[in-house]
Amino acid sequence: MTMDFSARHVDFVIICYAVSAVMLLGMTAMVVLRSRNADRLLVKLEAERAKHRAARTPTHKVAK
Amino acid sequence: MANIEKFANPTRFLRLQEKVQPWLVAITVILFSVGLYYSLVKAPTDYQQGETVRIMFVHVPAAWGATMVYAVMALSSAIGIIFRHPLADLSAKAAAPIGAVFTFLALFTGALWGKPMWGTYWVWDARLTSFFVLFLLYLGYMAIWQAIDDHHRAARIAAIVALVGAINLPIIKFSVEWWNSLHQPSIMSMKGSSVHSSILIPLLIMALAYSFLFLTLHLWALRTELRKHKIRQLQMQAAKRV
Repeated sequence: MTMDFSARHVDFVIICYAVSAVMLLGMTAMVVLRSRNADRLLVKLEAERAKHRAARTPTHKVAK
Repeated sequence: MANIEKFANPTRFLRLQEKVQPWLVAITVILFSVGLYYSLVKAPTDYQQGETVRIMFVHVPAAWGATMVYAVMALSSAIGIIFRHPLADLSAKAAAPIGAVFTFLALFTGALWGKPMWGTYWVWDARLTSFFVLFLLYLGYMAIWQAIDDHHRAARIAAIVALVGAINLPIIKFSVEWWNSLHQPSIMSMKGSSVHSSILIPLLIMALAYSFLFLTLHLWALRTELRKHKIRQLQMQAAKRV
């Protein structure tokens, strides 16, 4: 029952599966990459905020 | 309803998403593997369509997925408008690109099935046209989010567009009954299925695979949207400091 590669219009079937695979895998890769980029940026911004807070604290103590 | 409210809390949602994500990925991979085996190896050749019948196993699940994703998007938009829940707007936003890809695949694979079967890639038939309108609705919805900087304004306008566009869903479903259409009628109804189990089983497995792929990617993209929301807040705080 396996697909007959010599049958008529089999190229249409192959194109359909290939395009579906490329689009679905591409979309998955895009979702994963966007998630990783957002995670990386969030970590960077939180580190910057923590650094800023740490830098501000001693100044206040000196002022007192 | 209490459970929905419980998981609509962003912190709880993120915790839940992290827990279920590996399981969803595993189920999706298994379903696609089994589905492709059935579609390309086990399923018999159709006496009329020949090998072209195998296009159905990627075309029909993509079409079902495209309408299902739009229904999710419209429902999320309705919840966003009625309850003003920020997660609902982000859910609709995260679903749109996935729905657009499913719709494109349904149109593309349908065209490639149409050429050997109908003798043409495309006709301005009720089902095909309403499906093309669905694709345009997805593109328009995504364009609104891209074009408007103010998050709340973009969410409101996009939600209205999604809800107005939902009228297209029954048109797609019943187009083959309301108008003379080249497209064949629905294979699934309340009375059962009109196709043989050797074709129906791979079709349903692939439909389940597409549904799980959507669920996996949707939750993942929703997590990213929540992260981006937090990033915007931190960037605004940083800008105020400068």
